[in-house]
Formats: sequence, C-alpha cells, structure tokens
Amino acid sequence: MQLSIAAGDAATVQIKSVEVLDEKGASLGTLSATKPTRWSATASAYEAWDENVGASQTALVSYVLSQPGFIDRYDSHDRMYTVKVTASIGGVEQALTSTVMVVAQPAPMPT
Amino acid sequence: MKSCALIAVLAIACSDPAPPTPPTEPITVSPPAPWSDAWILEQGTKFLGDTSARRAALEAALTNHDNMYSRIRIAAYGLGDRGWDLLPVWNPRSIPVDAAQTPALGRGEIPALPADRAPLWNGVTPTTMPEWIALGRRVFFEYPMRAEIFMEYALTEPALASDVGVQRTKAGDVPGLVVFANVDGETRVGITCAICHSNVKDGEDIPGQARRSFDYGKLRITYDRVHGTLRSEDEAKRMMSWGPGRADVTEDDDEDPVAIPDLWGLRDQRWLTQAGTIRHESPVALAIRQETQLTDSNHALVRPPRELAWALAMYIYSLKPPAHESAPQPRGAALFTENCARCHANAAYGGTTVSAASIGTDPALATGKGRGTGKYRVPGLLDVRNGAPYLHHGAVVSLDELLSPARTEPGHKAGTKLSADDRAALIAFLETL
Repeated sequence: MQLSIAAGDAATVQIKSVEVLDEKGASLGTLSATKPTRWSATASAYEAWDENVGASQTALVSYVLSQPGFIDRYDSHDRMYTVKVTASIGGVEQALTSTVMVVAQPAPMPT
Repeated sequence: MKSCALIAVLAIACSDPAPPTPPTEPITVSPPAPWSDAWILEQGTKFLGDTSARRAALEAALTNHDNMYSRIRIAAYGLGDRGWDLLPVWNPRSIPVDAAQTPALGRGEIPALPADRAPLWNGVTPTTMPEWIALGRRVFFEYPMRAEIFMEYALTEPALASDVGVQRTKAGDVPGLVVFANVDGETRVGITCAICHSNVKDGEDIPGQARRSFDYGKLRITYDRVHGTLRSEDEAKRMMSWGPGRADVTEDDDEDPVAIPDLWGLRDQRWLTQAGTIRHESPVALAIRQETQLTDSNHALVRPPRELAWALAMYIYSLKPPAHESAPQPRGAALFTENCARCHANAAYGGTTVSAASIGTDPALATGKGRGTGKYRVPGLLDVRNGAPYLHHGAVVSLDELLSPARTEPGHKAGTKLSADDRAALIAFLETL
C-alpha cells in the first residue's frame, strides 16, 4: 500500500485500520499494515521509516499489507474493491479510499 | 458605452488614413501531418505535460473498459492528485549483464553496482527524434521491469539458461537482463523489454525481433521444482505447455498464452496487443501503454519518468526488421492483393480488428477477462518469413501450414483454397516482406 502524506506541521503517522469493501460498500474484512518505508529520492529506494513526517514535507510511503484471506475464490478476483484506510496524522484521524482490483494472479510475464 | 463606442468609431474615421500596404500572400501554417515526426513530437508535449490529456487519451485508447487490463488502469492512471500519478518517480541505476559479470552471477553472487553508476536518465529532456530514440534504446535494454529470481537462478545453471532462451551475444552480453538497484535498495537481476523482444542471431542482437526460443514457463516450473515452490501440478502442466516463444501475459486464470510478437511497423498499426486491447490513434496511447507496463510490472511501487516511457515508444517506432534481398514476386503480389490485402491493408501489412468469431481462431484471448475485446488484431507481416509460429497463439508452425487446406488448427481460412502453385507463389511473395 502506497500513500502520499502531506504534512503542514511535523506529525506522527499511525495506520489505524485498512478495511476492504466490496462493490456495494459492504465490509469484507480488514488487513494489517506493517513494515513502513518511505521513498528516498537520494537513495532512489524505499527505506525504513519511523512514521514521522517533518513540517511542510510530503512523504511517499509504503506499507506491506497482509493477504486478504477473505478473498479466496476466483469469482471474487475479477472485481473491483475499495480499500478504506484510516490513518492518524498528528493525532487527527483521516480516512481515504482507493479503488483497486485484486487479480487472481499477477501476469506471469508483464506486458 | 454607446458614446464610448461612438467616439471610437469617430476617432477611426478622423484619423489619418493608413498607408496602403502591399498585398501579401496569406501566411498559412499547416499542422504537421499525422504520424510525421513533427506531429509525433507535438503529441509528446501533451503526454509529458498535460494530466487531463493523458487521462482522456487512456480512456479513448482502451477498447473494452470492462476487461482487467482496462479496469486496473482506469482506476489508477492519469488521476493527477491520486493513484499512480503520486507514486515516486524511479530513475533506476542498472547495468546490462555482460561477460564481466558472468562468473559472479554463475556462482549466485550478484555484483554490487559501482558507486558512481549514474541513473539511467540524466534528466535532460530530448528535443529531437534521434535523441528520443537513443534514450528509448537505453530504456529497452536497461529499465528493469522487475527483479526476477528465476533469472538469477538461470544464470547459475548455464545449460538451463541456454535451454530456455537466455541468450548471449558473441561479446558475452545477455540482452534483456540487468543488474540493478531495486526499489527496496537490494541489488538484483532484473528483466527488461529486450528479454522477449530481442533475439540473438549469429552472435548479434536484433532488437525488435521476438525471442522465439524464450521458454519462460519452463524456466518458472524448473525453478519451482528445484526449490519446492511449485503451487500445483496443474500450474506446472499449464506453464510447460506454453513452450518456446509463448507466454500467458494476462492477469486472470484463463488459459490463453500468446506468441511473443515482433515489434516491426508499430507506427503503422492502429491497434495494440493481439486482442486489439488498445486503439493506437496517437503515440500517446503507446506511451501510456509503456508507462503503465513499467509501473504495473514493478508492482505499482514506483512509476517511470514519463520521459522514459515516451522515449521507449519512440524507440519502438524506430525498429525495423533486418534488411534482406529478394527478387520481386509479381504473381505472388497479385495473389496477395486478391486474397490478403483486404485485411492486411496498412503499410506494415497489418490492419484493423476482426471479430474472433469471424476469424475463427482460438477465441480464448479475445473473449478472456484479462485483455479481451471480442476481437483479434490483423497482425503486420513485415519479416513474416522469420515470424513462425503463426496466429496470435503461435499454433501454426509454417506459412505453408497456415495456407494449407489440410491444416487442422481452426481459423484464418484466407488463402487456404489456393492451388499448390498459387500457394507457393504467395509464400514466395510473403517472404519478400
């Protein structure tokens, strides 16, 4: 999961929940978000991140999500899902949503 | 307002008459012709600088918005303040695998990149077509699509590598493989466009020619068997059935492998992918295809600089099959006009899309959830003499079989009712293309 976090004041980020909703908005379950990393333009790589963002900074960050065990049938893969992320940024909770497709399997050869 | 207007009129009337000007020819500026270099470069400005134009181009280019390829992109691409537009821009540091790295890679050691190895792109935007093409060539050979553990393994097993089409030039280069600094900071072996779309012949690499010896399914399954990571025998059976030069490139569970295509004449083709997944009315469509391919294949952790996606498109347009001499074949040419040219109609001898039902070939790809449109693209025929196996899924081994009335593989009946003499004449003409 990749997020772009723009901070006015210096802030600590905490992912409170990652919820997956189906096309009708019904909750299917939650995922855990671990291993926070932040993009380093200098290193041109994601690096371990302490979940703090400095004042007036925009952090491009990445978390590893747990596998959605509740999506285990192929019928469920060819479908769009909404991922609702609730994050605490500087003690203020914010929610954002993104539409994603869960694929049955990544294309063996990317084209 | 009326008095102001009146004053203005009076002022004009009372002013000194303007000196007569000599008649001049009206200056007309013609817009550049579509698909000229000037026009293409003009489109590049939109691609590089106009988010809404990219989004509109994406939506216009996707033939079927309901297949998985389209839905993934519609959900993420060209959204400006969200989606893939916000991903870090990755300008990778990589080195093509060559003879110097072979010993270490053969021992399973991945050599560190030199500390002074610069990123692929120096950040200077090209301004001319030759400059774009030169940059695109580097992308084709050096931009990692992803880290590839299977290739790292193959490099430790030279016999396997050779068997599955990991090729070497006479200089010892391994086109399509790079050592690179991955987005997690690790140094890895990665694959580039060239692993499928370049082919070593007589020790020389031919960019654009499909690597028909590349057996990715066999490589994957061999790795999985050795490392105990095979998911199922069914999967092994499927991937082993692809054979050299074929692979399943879709994101679904359908069984629809395709033949790796040559990249000749794409500038003249108005549809991209065998299933015509993308309308190619503008080079922006190809550039978006390349940008989203490089993003998706790197697991949407990063996106490429758009300049590199555009450069790659320009390089692909520049690719031409190796020149060969051949005598004119007027009788075969006439037979082509009579039997083939209605569909194979453009400058690359390709054409529009036709329904899978009407062409009659295996419909799995055309009707599949991954890339399906219900149709197949009429492929180009440049260098078709070297293009076997034929049809979108590589099911026919020769032109003679393709045009034979005795062929058992269904579909594409055009040309199969010719006499043996006419068939030979038509094939002789096709071999001149």
